[in-house]
Parts: sequence; structure tokens; C-alpha cells
Amino acid sequence: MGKNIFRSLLLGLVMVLAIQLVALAADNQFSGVQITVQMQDHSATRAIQKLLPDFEKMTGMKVNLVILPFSAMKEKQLIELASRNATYDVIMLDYRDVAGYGEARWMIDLGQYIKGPLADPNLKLDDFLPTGVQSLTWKNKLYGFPFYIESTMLMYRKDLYDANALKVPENWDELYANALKLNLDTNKDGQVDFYGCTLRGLRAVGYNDYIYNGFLKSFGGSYFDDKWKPIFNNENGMKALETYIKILKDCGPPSVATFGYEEVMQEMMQNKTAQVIDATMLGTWLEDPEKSQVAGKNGYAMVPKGTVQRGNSFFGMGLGIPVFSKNPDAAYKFIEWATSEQVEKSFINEGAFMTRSSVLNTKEFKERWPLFANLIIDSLADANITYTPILPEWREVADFVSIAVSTALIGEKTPKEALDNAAAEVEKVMKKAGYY
Amino acid sequence: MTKTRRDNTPQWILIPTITFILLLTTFPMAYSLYNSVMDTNLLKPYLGSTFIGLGNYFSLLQDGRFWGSVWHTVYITVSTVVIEFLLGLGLALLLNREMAGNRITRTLILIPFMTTPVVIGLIWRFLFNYDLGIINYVFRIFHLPQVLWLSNQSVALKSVVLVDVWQWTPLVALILLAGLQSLPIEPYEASLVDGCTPWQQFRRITLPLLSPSILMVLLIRTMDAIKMYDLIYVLTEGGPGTVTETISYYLYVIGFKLFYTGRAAAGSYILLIIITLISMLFIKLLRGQYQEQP
Repeated sequence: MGKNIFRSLLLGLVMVLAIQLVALAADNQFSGVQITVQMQDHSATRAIQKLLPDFEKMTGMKVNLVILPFSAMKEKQLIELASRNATYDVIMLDYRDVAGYGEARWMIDLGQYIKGPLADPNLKLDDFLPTGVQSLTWKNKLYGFPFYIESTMLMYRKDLYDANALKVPENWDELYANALKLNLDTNKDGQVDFYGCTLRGLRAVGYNDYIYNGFLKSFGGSYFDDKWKPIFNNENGMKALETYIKILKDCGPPSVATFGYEEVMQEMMQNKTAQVIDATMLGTWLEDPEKSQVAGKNGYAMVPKGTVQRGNSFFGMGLGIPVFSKNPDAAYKFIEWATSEQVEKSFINEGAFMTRSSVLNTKEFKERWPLFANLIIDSLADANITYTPILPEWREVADFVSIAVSTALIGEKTPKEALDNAAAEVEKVMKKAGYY
Repeated sequence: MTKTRRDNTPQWILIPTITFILLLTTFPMAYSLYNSVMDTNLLKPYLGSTFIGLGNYFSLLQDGRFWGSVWHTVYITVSTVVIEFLLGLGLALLLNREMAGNRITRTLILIPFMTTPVVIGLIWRFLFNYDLGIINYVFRIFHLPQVLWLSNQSVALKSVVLVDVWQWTPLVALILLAGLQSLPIEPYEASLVDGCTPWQQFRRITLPLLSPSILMVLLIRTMDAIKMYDLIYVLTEGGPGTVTETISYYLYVIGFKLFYTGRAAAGSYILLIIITLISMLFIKLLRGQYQEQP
């Protein structure tokens, strides 16, 4: 017994020494440093997770990856930042939070690193799509490197379009007309059970408002006038909401008010709806034969136009360093690596969420996703990050807009009442925040 | 002469408990009272926090969404407590008889309230699913209309009530059953001699004797229902629109989504006052009950 314990102790000691030797061999200023990285549960994150051992071997640092669903991640992040904890060395940063976090001085300005000695000569900041970098900048300070960005696109059932001799819609009216024709009764019981078009209806910030904001933009609508008075309830806003609701009421599944992007995509993948408008990177789900019953049957197109422009949205996430981090240098090296050209190239197989034009324009990317690679590039180029207001109060504003879309959709209020009500509430918020 | 020394041991023994209570209840209460009179938004630390007296309370009382949440809470509380009590009482009376399979039933009905509310919420969300849920599937088989359990504004709140009733009726039944089984046998024997009908027995003997248990269970369920948060969070997130937002859920939105800690604290105090008033009422009734009995 005693001998065994002695032996295992010795073995343990040898192993500890060995690990230290390996770490020394890596010959790096970060060996032994531990950083904690908080990330959203996302295919880009999964891809990083796979490559992490290489990075750890290369730098000698240890990376704890904390992966959480989107809303839980944001909530946790805010609590940690607001209580000024050093829990996370790197966080995934929603571009709409950049203004608020920047004003609160919670994030490190990465500009100081880019010019500093730590920066990799191959960083190539101008290789990121300009919208990506722009979206993470607030008052001339860059608070994150783009990690994934997306716009929206129309995904439709090409087989059904062809069978019914339908044309890819250029505007909302055409989309609506196509959707009406694709409301089908597949089991002949007299009730529609295959729906013409599905969009997000779920009331939550970043869900129904994400797609609706594209509609608003397409009609030339905006949230505020130049004096920060809410004007999203004007004629343009009304047209946008009425169009959104008309499509969903007449051609959407009955329970669409509870649909987030997962439900929307499920509906499409399970052959229950003819078309959806959602994030560009979700096309990869549709074409995955393991997940999707309709792989190979789909066509992809730019989001239709309203009266003014196309209704595509924009979303992006970056990686940034909270000022409370105890190891900002190591954190910076992680961010630089995770968003590097080389790492992003190795993601091509995993998804279509790239942020660097050098990667988006490779032959590999276009060959991997031939159906929508070019569309993604065009859609991102067309996307406009200021289609919703960038301001520290966006969260409250977006909450009211999301509620307005939802209450109008379920018929609790008319679109006019819902938007007027939201505008009145938003005006209170802006007044309290000191805009007027 | 022997000097009697004062023995301080009892005080010393109490110190841990007192510290514990101070740290865990008194301090948070006092701190949130302080918070409730300050205007703070944690998302804007650069603004600091300013004293605004009862401003947070007033802004809540003028907030239509808050009153909406109060109404939803009242609706949920009244309907769940009434339904759970009636069903629970019936269940308890049934289980109180000597019947085959009674023991196993008593164990089985414990399952709903031994399960975590979050798990229950998730399971019911699947059951309620419009296209894939089993409830609508069964409805389809019997050619009943499909119900939008969670996305129809006039049904969503009732669905929440349904889940809560499913979860908590067993607890009500169990407490009432314990009460039933501890009732004395003599009044029943006497009533039989006097020629009482079973209904008279129930109305004149069982109910009055059971009333302490009844009040107790009503108190527990009312306090719990007023605080309802977890089920809403998992089932509907307050939606569609805001039709299932309860007070607690709305306060969570204010406090942990918008980070107005002051207003959330003020809301919690309003909720606390409501719960305290209701509990006092119940406790008064309970006292009265005990005094009436010999």
C-alpha cells in the first residue's frame, strides 16, 4: 500500500515536471497564464473550440472557454461588467452594445495594442470588411475585432418556385403574392398546412425586431429624427409593420408569434414552409442533409425591396477585452489569433460567418458554399450598420419596438396603436437619458 | 457566600444565528430599501446614482406595463389558488378512503412538485408546441380545433395557469390529506348517531375541522403564486406581447435586462408590501380559527 502511494506520488511529480518542461519549451511570455473567454454558443465558437489546443500549445497559455446561449451570455456579461469583476478576459461583444460599453468605459481600446509591440505584423486590420470594424467602433475607439458578421437573405424552395413558375421576388408585393400561392394544403383536409412564408415573431430583443428592422429600412423608415425624437411610428414605419404582419398573418404558421430563428429554420428544414428571410449564415443549416429534409432543393436571393431599398439587416459580434481583465496582453493575443486570416480560413468548412474579405473571396469559400457565397458578399456589402440607431440606450428602445411588433402580430393592438405606444415610451426613455 | 456568576452561554450560542439573519435578510432588505430611493442604471456607471426619494415608486405606479403585470399576477394567483384548492380537496378526500392502489397513488402524485420548475416549463413548452406538441396531436385525432397554447393572447395566460395547477395541486392535496387524517373520529361517530347525511358531515364537521390546514395551504399557494417567475421565464418569456408578464418577471426585466436597479428594488418593495398584507390577513384568520377550537 505505502509503496503504491509513493509510486503514484513520484509519477505525479514527474508529470508535473514534464508539463512544466513542455511549457518552457514553448518559450513564451504567456506560458502558464490562464485566461477565461466568454462566448456565444455558435458554430464559429465550436470551430474555435476545436482549434484551441493548437493555440494553447503555441503560446503556452491556458484558455477556459465559457460557452453560453446568446441571451444568457449577454445577461451574465452585463452583470459581471456592471459589478466590475475580472471574471472574463475576453468577451463576445454584440455590436449594438459597443456604444453603451464604450460610454461606461468597460472595454479596452484595442487601438493601443494595434500600434504596440504585441501586435502581429500579419494582423491586416483593413482585411476585415469595413462594416465589421465600423460596427465595433465607438467615438473613434475600436473595442473589438470582428468575429462573425451576417446580413439577411431570402431562402426559398427552388423546386416549388419552378413547379409553380414563380419568379424570385424583387419587392414585398411579389414576395407576398408568391407566398400566397405557396400556402398549400398537403394532406387535403381543407386546411393550409404548408405555409408560404415564415419570419421571426418572437418578442425578444434581437429576434422579431432583427428582421422587422430590415423592413423598416426598406421603406426608408428610421427610429429617430435628427433631434432624437422617435419617428418609427410615421407613415414609413406603419407601412413596414403592416407589410410584415400581412405576410405573417396570411402566409405564416399560426404559432409564428413564438418563433425565433431556430423555429423559423426548423420550419424550413422540416419542409413546412416555402420561404424564410433570416441570417445569411443559416443557409448552411438548410444544405446540411443530416439536419434538413430539404437540402439541395433551395434557392437563395437578396432580400426584396420596399419603396426605397432592400430590406436586409445587419448583425455582428466581435471579441473584446474588459478593462477589468487581469491578463489583457494574453487576452489580446487570443483575440488576434481567433480572428486571424489563417484561423478564419480553417472555418470555411464549418459555416459562412466570415469577416475578412481575403477569406470571403477565396476559391475555397466559393466552392464550399456555391449556392450563396457570392450572395453573402453582396448582401454584406449592401448592409448598413446604422439602419438601427447606435446609442447606449438601444436596449430599451429595441425592447419597446419588439413588443410593438409582437402585440400587433397577435392582434392585441393595431399596428398604429402598437407603434404609437412604443414611440411614446421611447420618447420617455430618451427624455430621461437627457437627449432633450 | 457564593457569588452567582451570570451565565452568558445562551447569548454566545445565539450569535451565529443572529449574524446569519443580519447578513442574509436584514442587510439585503435595508440595502434594497436604500436602492429603491436612488436613481441608478448600472449600464451607465458614468451617470452615478442620485437620490430621488419616492420617484421610483411613482414611476412604477404610472407605468402601464407594471399595472398590466399586476393584473396578470392577480389573474394567475386567483385562478390557480381556487382551482388547485378545489381539485386538491377532492383528491385528498378520495385518497383518504381505503382504496386499492391508494399508497402508490399517494407516491406518484408527488412527482410534479418534486420536479424543478424550469424542467416542467421546458417539458410543457414541448407539449404545447403548435405543430409538434402532443396535446394538439391528440386534439387532431379527435378532430378538435388546434389551439395556439402559448402564442394566442387570450390563451397564453390560461396555459400558464394550467401548468401551475398541474404542478401544485398534488401539494395542496397532500397537505389537506394530512389534515384529514389527523381529524378526531368522535364527532363523526356522534353525527352518525344523530343521523347526519354525508354532505352534512362534510359541511358541518370536516370543513370546519380542516380549516386550519385549508388556510395554511391557501397561504402557501397564494404567496407562491404572487411571486411566479420561473414558469413564465421558461414558458413564454412574458410574451406574446406582454400578456403573460407577472410582477416578478417584469421586475426581472427592469433589473436584469435594463439594469435600473433602483426601480426594480422599488418594485420588489411594492410586491413585498402586497404579500405581507395578504399573509397578515391569512394569519389573522388562522389565529381566529385556533382560538375558536377548545
